Amino acid sequence: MKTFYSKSLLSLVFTAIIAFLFVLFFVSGCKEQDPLRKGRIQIEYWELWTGFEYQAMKDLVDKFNRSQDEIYVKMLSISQIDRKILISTAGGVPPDIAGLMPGFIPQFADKNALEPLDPLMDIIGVKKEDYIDIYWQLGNYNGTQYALPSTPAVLALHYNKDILRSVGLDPENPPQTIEELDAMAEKMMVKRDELNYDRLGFIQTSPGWWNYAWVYFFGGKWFDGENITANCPENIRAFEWIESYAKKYGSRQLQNFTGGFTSPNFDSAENPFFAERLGMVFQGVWLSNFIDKYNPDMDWAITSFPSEGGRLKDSVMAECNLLVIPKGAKHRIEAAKFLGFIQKPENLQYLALKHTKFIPLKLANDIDYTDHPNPHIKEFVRLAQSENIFSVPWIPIWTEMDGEISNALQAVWLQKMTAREVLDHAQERLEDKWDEYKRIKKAIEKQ
Amino acid sequence: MTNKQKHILKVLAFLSPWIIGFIVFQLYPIASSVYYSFCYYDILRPPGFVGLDNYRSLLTDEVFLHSLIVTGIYAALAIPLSLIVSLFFAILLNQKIFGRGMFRVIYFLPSLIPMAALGVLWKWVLHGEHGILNHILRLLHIPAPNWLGSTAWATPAMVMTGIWAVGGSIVIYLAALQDVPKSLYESAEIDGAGFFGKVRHVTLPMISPVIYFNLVMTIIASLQVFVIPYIITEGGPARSTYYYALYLFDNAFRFLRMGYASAMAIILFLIIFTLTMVTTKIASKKVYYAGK
Amino acid sequence: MPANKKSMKKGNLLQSIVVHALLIIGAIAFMFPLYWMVVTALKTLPEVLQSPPLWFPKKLLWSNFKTAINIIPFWTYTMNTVIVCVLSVIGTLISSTLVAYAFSRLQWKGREFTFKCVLATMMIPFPVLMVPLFVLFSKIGWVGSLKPLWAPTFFASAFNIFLLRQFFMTIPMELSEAARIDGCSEFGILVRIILPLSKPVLLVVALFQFIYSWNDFLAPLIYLTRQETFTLSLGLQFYQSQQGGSQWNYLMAAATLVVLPVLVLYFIAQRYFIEGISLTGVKG
Repeated sequence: MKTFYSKSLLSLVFTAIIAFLFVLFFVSGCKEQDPLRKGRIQIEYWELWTGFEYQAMKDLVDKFNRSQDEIYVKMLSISQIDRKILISTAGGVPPDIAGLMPGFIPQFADKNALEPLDPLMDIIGVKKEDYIDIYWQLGNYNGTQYALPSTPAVLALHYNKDILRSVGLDPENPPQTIEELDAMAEKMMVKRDELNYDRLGFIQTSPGWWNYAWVYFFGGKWFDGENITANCPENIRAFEWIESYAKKYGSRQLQNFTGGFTSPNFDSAENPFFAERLGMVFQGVWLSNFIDKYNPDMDWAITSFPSEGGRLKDSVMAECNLLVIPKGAKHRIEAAKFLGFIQKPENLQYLALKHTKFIPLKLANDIDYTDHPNPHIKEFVRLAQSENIFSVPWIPIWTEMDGEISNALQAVWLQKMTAREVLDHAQERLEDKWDEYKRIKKAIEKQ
Repeated sequence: MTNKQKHILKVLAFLSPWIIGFIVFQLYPIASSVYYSFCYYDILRPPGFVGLDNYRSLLTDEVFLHSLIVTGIYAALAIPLSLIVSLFFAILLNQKIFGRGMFRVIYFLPSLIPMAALGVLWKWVLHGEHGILNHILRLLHIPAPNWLGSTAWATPAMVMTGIWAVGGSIVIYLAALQDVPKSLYESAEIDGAGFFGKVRHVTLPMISPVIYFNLVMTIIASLQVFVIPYIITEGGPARSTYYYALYLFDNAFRFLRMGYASAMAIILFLIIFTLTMVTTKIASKKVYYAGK
Repeated sequence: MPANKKSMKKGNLLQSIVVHALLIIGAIAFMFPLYWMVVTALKTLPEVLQSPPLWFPKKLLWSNFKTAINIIPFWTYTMNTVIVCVLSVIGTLISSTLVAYAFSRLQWKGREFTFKCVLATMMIPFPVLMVPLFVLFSKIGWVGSLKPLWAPTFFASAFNIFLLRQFFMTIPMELSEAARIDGCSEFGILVRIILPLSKPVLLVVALFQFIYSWNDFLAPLIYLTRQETFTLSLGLQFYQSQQGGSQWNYLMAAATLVVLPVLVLYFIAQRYFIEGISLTGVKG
């Protein structure tokens, strides 16, 4: 012990630490404070966007801050935002307003983690009749409005016309049925070697964000409002379809192609669709922004997703970025005022242009789109009002359900289990969860 | 006040940080974990008593059983491997070698790396397509698995990542080895023991208390493995790395099923307690304490 | 028996070669991932994704570090981490020395048993405490702040008590006795006699606590909600999950920046680390 102590070294370490601290305080002291902030009520706004999507909303926040002298909105970009909102709400320190995806609305509302917006509607100043129905409904749980849309989206089949052309397919005749999709995809496939593909036509795991979506194109669903329907015949057919891809192309080879389930390279030039290694993807209206960023020369188009036997016309999925006021937010009224500001058509339109989306209002039908950056925006607006539009299962145990569905899809994709097995399995587990949920709900109501 | 009372007060005063800390940050949490485990609790609403419901659900919860099994597999790989690897390098470092200091630095360094950085780094090293590990394997004509994309290889990948940070144990073993009296080796040599004979009959018994200490620490650590799989695989693919602590965390902070998570916590506590006791029992027979 | 000796020497030489060879192979395996992290951090993105991979970039792109610092609010994260680390070090030094003093320099009934209890608390896994602690901190409104990360260190940790106690025991009791006769209080003895003699072990405790707080991930993950309050570890994971694993060069640059301070600290105070770690094992 004696040998390893030297006084000079000790003081050196501590001086270094203290010097480091001073530098840090100096550096952070240089950060300028927004002069608008002074003497105002500050509300905190969390959003899941980054990059240009974040910036577009930030522009509106700045505009709001300049437009009045009572409220100052501080906007923060948060990842895994649903968890952070839940934790901070449970911890009693929620943001005043936050962005949330629709799947979480039932769960959050049911757990009493969201402020109902109905009493604040006068302040917000919007009415149901102005909205495209599905986007209003995505903020509504059991008749109470908990959220309003910031930017809506439609998910459809995006396809690379050049690739279709290069394999002798007509780019003006995209697939209408699942069977056509499969056949076209197979034509586009280019093998590199035993374990790798240079190009594929279509796969269900890129980007792998909407694992629950596929069953709808077979007429299936996960929850009918009363009961779990995970293993209904339509769902099994959908999963057998997914299984057929794993069998046809090989699980190992497909994993190599996507780099596994947890390496989404969506926002990069490596994204197989932008790199023209994937002919068709199921993606949202925002994709045009990213195509412009990574492969502006690509010749692409969209169509509604094919359905089994072509039975569903214009079948697409609705997604939406929503704004909510978490329970226990310190400045509800001010948050509602900001929410009202965002809901003004001109502000929604600003966001829509920057995100290459459309506005959630019926007004979207009457807008002149000649300068819109998304060449297919009109088609998206039309599809948003399709009668075969569907969205995320509306169930308060969504987080658990999502986990089960992802797990089921991965098991099928890796050919660990058959489609029927995984869905029977998921059905059983989800029924347990659902029964437990109802039991607890009853117990809580009694108290 | 008598002198004795004064002395007791003095002792208590010195102990007070620990006593308060123990009560507030350990005793109270464990007690309330027990209480919550009998409740439905999502923090947003007050806890509601449900009796043994959580435990009953756990018994039929396949994901719970699955997480127990994969954690068991992880531990069964990680515990002996880290023990062998760290002992192996410690014994090598204890030979007459050049640059022991340098080697010690090299082996120790990875153990200092923050888990988050370690996870991010290995996610890149293990990348199926661009990962350097697979490239090296291909150069050596060894079949390269898609580590993080296959259910069979994800857990071995996690174990490997953990082994990389085993340097702390190497240093502990090395220190213990250097305390083994030279005379014991010399007399073993006279008795005709070779390298392995010396390791078996002198080294291992002499450092057995340290092995025991490290073993207990590794058992505890591997049963609650969390950060690396959370960062690298998020429990996938197909839940193959969905270890106990990950499921516990998800129940607590994603599903807000605090009662259920607490029941899991209590079970984890009991498992660790039992395993430590068993190890201690075995160790009390096998471990050699010099001077006792 | 010169022949015999010679063969033994030959055997020793062979053994020595094998040992060195194994050590070098091991060293390469242990160092390579770190090398790969730094090298990736210095590449352009096309170079990163090039196949076969480039063992060394053509041009070292130091600007990646600048980009990484700008992408993640690196200074904010560092600042938060340093605040937590420094306060934790102060907290654990104050509290653990007091408690260790009672366990080593004061005589009282049940001391050994209580000490065993202290050691036993080391076995309590954090996941077991995590739910009630979260509830506790949320009730006093600390969730979302840095307080839950450092406040507990002001109430002594078992590991540090253990380290300090081992060292305090080696200081001759006569020194305390003499001071007591001079009318010195116990606190006075601790401050004037024990602590000045214990600087090496205090440094070890400080270093360990610093590293522990610097590396901690689970607690920040649970308690911190806003990016402004993130520590480096959490910030790194946050960046990774946000950009979705594509810009590996920036990600590795960020990882390098998170690792660097720990390594620098290690090289400054290398001996203390090794001695400190050895201390934990030998008497364990």
